[in-house]
Amino acid sequence: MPRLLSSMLLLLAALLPLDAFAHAQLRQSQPAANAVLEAAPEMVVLRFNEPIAPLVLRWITPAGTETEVQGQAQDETLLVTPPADPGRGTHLLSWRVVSSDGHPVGGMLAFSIGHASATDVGNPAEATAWPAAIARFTLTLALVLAVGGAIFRHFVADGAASAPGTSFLAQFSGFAILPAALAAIATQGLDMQGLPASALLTSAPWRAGLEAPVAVTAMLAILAGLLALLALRVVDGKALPGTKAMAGAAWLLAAASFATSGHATVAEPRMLSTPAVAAHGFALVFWIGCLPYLLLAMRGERALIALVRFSRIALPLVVLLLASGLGLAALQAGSPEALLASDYGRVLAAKLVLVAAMLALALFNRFRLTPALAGKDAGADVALKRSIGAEIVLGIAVLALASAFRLTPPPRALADQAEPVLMHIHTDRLMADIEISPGRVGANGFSLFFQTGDFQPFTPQAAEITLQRTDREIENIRVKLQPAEDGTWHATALAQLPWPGAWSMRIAVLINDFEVVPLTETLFLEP
Amino acid sequence: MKTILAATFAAASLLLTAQGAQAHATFAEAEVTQNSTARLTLRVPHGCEGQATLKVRIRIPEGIIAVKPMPKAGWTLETVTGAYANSYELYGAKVTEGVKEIIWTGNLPDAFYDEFVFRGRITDTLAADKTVFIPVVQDCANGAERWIEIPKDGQDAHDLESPAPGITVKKAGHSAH
Repeated sequence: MPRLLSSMLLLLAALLPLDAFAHAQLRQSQPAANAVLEAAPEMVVLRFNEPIAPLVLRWITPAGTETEVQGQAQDETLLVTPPADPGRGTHLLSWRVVSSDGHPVGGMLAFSIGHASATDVGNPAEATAWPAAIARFTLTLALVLAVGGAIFRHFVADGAASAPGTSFLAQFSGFAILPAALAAIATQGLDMQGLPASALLTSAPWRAGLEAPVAVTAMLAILAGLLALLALRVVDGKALPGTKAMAGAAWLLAAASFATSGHATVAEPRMLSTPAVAAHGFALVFWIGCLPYLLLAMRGERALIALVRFSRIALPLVVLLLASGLGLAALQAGSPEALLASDYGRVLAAKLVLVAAMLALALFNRFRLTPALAGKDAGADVALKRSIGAEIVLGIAVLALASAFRLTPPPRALADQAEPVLMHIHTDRLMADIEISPGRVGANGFSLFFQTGDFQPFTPQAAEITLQRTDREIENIRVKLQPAEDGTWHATALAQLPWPGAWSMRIAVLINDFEVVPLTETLFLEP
Repeated sequence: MKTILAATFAAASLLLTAQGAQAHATFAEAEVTQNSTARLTLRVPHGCEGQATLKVRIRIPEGIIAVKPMPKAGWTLETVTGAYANSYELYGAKVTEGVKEIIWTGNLPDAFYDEFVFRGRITDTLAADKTVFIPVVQDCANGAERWIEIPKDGQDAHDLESPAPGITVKKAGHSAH
């Protein structure tokens, strides 16, 4: 037994890591690093200096999706099968192989199909953004109609029995809020991660969507909807006590839900923009939300009373709507020229045109048609119904356009996006100023400037950056640097960084033949 | 049964330890003793990405004095003398400068392996039970292979890509002469 034990220990000792490891080296690849191909390659070939076996092979598409791919080793050559239909843009192949004596070696191969990926500085309207915008529109519509119904019942119609169809519309909208809210969260998650619709079966888009501001909006919308549904309950034709307060609370929550997400809420200064959006939401919930019920009330005897009460409440709210809307437009645009030049500005202009048309119709109703109805003019009620009907159509169109803002970044945001990420690393011996542009997901350029620890000029012999993701099993991305005439160091090729978040950045600065100083810092990349 | 098993284990362990192809530049000696003269053999397993090695340069770190490199047939040998940071006592004499860099110039094709030897005195300035790292640079026609990364305290040398070869320093056993 002791002899067996000692032999086992010997074996164990032999298996302990050797002082140095063998590693294969990549000699050649097809496609070559940073090459731009016309079409997707049938096979990616990696040639090493010694026989290898594949361990992990991951393909990262320009959209940032990661898939495991298969590779076949033939002595020193590794043949990797690309995924079907890889798409145009810059792809990354994260490869890890094992050398003939067991030590793994890895690397990252970047190449482009068709064209190199341009970083999305400005237009996020990809295929995944549309479903999110549509889901948001559906949620807004359901919320506005449900809460509008409750508000109309208690503040315009004074709690009295409402015209046929009112309860149905309000309750249907109220129940539609929950599925619409879930759809909004899920589609936002899909958009954030760039996933296809099939990913809805996984938890990834849901988790991502729940972290987005739209989740708070959805939560508030669900609460508002619940209160609105409760506020609509009648017993024997009379509203239950406390339901008026519930309707009021639903109204306020609905207004708040607008202020928790969207471009406008985060325009600087936030102290002004967030309340402005809430005020805007408060006003529009009344105006657009009550119109359908007003139309339905036209059939009843209390039509005139409803009209008058509606107009009375609507007047100050319309003023609030216009004031908050113009204020937000000013905050978002920065300058009138910027507004007209951008996609955002064009959507806003279209929205303003529709709102102006709605206003015109509203004024027409108030000052021409309502007195006509009071005076029992023939055809006045038909004209009024048509006018209100047209206003409703315009109102829905305005809500749709407001949801479309999601697809266009405001000029203010474009200005922010154009600024690169600046970093400074300071150690005793060495200092580096680093500029990463654009500092977002996609192709990034690096520019560095070095100084000694006490601000004296310094030129390293060589420098290289290695970027690593600790949360993903992919190989490091290397960025080779080259000196320019003005003393700055630039990346020889753009580095494709497929995911937002924290990247561990290590700059190896060769200060003389025998010394290398590593500078490390975490780079946070915007989506 | 036990004998067979033991024999199998022994054979297996022999096979495993007999693996060659250590692809980092390392020293054949695992440890040296303070206050003694050591022979250090640098093993160069490959060139720079397939290119032949034309120069092997070793920088002598602080704490190793009285360095004498071994000449190689077919290679030119040069040394660079410089001041030591500390002052040392060697056989009663005070030593403040000596060989700080060794340069062998020649040609070692990538397919071949070679060893480069030098001798030096390990002083007790180098702490016992710590590793002393000796940076090595291989120069080739179009680049260099630099074994110069020194792990920080707590960092494992195995995590580095191009670590400087290291040797463990052992405490002086008995007084040296």
